[in-house]
Amino acid sequence: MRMWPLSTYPRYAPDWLDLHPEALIGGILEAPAAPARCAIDNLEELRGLPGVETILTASEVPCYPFTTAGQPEPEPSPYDTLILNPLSRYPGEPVALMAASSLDALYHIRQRAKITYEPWYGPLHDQHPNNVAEAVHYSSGPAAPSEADSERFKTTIHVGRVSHMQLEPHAAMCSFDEENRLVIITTTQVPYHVRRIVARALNCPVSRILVKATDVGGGFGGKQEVIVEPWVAILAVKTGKPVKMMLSRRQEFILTRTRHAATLTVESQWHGRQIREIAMSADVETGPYASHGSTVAHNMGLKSLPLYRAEAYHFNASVRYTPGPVAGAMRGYGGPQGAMAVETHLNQVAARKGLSPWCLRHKVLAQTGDALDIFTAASSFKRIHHTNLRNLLSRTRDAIGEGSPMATGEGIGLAMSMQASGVPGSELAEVSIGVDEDGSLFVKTGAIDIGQGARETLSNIIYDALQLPRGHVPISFSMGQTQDFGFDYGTYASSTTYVSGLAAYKAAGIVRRKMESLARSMMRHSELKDTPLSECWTALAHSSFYGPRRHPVMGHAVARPSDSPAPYAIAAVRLTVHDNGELVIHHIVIGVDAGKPINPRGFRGQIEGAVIQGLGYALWEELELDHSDTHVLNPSLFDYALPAPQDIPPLDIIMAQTEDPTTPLGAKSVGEVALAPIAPAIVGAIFRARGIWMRTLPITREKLWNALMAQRETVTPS
Amino acid sequence: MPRLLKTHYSAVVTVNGHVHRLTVPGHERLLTTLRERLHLFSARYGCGTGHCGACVVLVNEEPVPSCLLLTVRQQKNRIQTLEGLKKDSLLAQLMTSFAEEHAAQCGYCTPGLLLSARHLLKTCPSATESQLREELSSHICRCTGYYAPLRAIAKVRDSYAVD
Ligand code: FES
Ligand code: FES
Repeated sequence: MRMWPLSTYPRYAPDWLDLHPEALIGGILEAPAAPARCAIDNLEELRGLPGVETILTASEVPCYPFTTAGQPEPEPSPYDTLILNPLSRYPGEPVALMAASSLDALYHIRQRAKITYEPWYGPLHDQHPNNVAEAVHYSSGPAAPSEADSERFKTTIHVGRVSHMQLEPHAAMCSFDEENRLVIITTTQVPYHVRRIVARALNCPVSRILVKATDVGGGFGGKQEVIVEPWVAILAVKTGKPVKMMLSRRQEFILTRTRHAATLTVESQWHGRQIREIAMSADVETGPYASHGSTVAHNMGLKSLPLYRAEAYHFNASVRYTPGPVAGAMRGYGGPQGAMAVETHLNQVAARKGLSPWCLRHKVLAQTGDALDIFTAASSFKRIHHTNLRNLLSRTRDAIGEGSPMATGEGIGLAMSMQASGVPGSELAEVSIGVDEDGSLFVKTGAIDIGQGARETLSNIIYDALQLPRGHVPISFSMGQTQDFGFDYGTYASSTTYVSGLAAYKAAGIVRRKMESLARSMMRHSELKDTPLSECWTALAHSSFYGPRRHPVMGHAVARPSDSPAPYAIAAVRLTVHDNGELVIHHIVIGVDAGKPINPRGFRGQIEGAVIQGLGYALWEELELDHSDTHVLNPSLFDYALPAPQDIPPLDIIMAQTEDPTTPLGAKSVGEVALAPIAPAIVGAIFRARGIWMRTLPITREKLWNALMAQRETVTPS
Repeated sequence: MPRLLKTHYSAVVTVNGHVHRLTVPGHERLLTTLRERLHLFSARYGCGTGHCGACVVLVNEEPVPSCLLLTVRQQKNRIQTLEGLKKDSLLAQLMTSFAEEHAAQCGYCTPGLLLSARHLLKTCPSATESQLREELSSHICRCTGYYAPLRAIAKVRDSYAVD
């Protein structure tokens, strides 16, 4: 049962904002063009408008560079942004922040502002004269494998920009508490990173800031970015009054984050049915601020290449600053782009070799014990594959009906993907569990329930570790309240079950041991009969507060796993491409190896949601830019195409019955893994249906029709 | 100094059986009134343009996006939000079914889905799968891929049909 998200009590950030009519309303004066140096010509007139509290321009706010990417220190993302940047690098970027007593007043400022701009033709960042934020080169294996009797193949694909489109927009409020600390109420996946990043932007100690994370109305990585929080914080500091700000849907599209657009090339050299060498090069468009750019780029290679066995691996990426919207973390985190390239490549190789994609993968799939970290130095911790996927591959193939007769225009496609369970070697979660006087439990954690079911998952872990029947006592959570402790790197990288779950498991173990020892000492003094813990739990809890041996019970534990086992997904899609370009998906089967499901309904929900986001990525969604690659052309739900209920194909989920050996929970992660293989599986199915390779996402009907026309023209020249 | 025109009007809105007499700007949307003045948070902002269904409320029993309605034009309408339907047995069944199926992930879209589902099952108790999908197509749910909500509604429909 997951009843609490149905409640209508105020729990999202926009609700809390609406409960505070006294707070000033924050707003943005947006850059009309970019890259450009923008100026407001009538600033003094605007400041005099009724209801206007303040208008801040770049010269009036602190200039401490930071990154909006919510990651632990040392942050891998460059500090290339300021609260307000004097050079506007994307249209819609704030030229000024404003606070006023009403929305009408903000509206009047926007109407009257005379914003002039001078286009900027230089590099987007002075330190990067050729607009390359970072170039990545990795290699492993023999330097130059022998060329004799080998075949070479090459595939290039392009993936577009898509928007997270969480239904709840970014919203935050900053006020002051009795000690004049800044209290930030916000919808975020990373409360502790919000605190640190705002502190960096304002140059104040983190202890001056309290972050209260609210329930999150959809994250998908979009709320792993610290976007509005520094804005409301500086407005509050400058005005000395509480300030709140919620982005509109249009602003969500243009000034939050996107998934990185990229062009990827995969080349491989084969000896028979063995890969000698596989090389990926990625040209990644990270937008005008790097944000998660370099880590996402890394993951395009690191989440796709290790699935297959090769003698040598190479990965090159160039992360480019580009005008237009800023890219950031988004569900899959490089995985969808990488899978689209590598899986399409393998499907092409299979076709060229006259093999089925299933058969080729049986040959080249990594084996148990093969390296997952193909590029790390020999000295450091190396993750390995813990499962052999061949059985799951066969089950998926049987379930989609490979080998059964196909109608004209019908085809089956296959693709695979892998993710991690937390950022390898860079995770930390702290969980405290206390037993209250009535036996109920309170749990403090920095993890957030962003819809994935963290509360149910952590509850199940805790009940199991306490050896109490699930639901035996109520559990209340404090999630993401920095004043409550429970440090956590945040809810991203599919880390909640594996990392925060492990901390919860350990903390519950401590609670259990303490309760048992209390029970033993009470039995020694014949204050308690010899009964199982679950039966005397409430009595024990009560006497831990009021009995002769009173000592309230609390457990605190930390998890910082060095491993991060990979969950896997195998997608099989059966579809028909009609002559008019219409594409009908008949069936999707997804085989998932994510270890033992702790919260089966949530597990399933994560897969279903990810599959449909993957379907949107494959077929409809794209944030389109104008000819100069800067303005977003479709920043509304009217123009931005999303999967609709009518588009949802029948979906079957096959679970590998595995338990992960690296954690006592046996569970890996499931939040992201099912998204990435959908697009390449569709591409593969279209090829098998029609003999054309669609190499650019999204595969809109128009593109498909054009490709079919081109094919018809080449096949039957008039 | 520009002069702001007089923009406030008196409005009468009947929400969940209570009559509210308010003075609101002429352009205020019902969504804003419900949330900021009446603190009914089940109507939620998702787009402000009628595309996402997060703000859906029942207006004379029909699900309508409240972001498209002007508060000053509601005097003849009967408005109901999820908060006002606590005693509705069909809604209670739907909510239980949603909870069992894990159909509310983040839950932001859920009140809208529930109201539309209730409306459909009221007007068409044996709605087909494609009618269910049609009804939900005025809502965006980014988390679930619609599978779980569709299952949850179908479950209620089936038990409803048997009764
Ligand atoms: S907010 Fe009303 S339909 Fe989206
Ligand atoms: S549950 Fe999150 S949008 Fe539907």
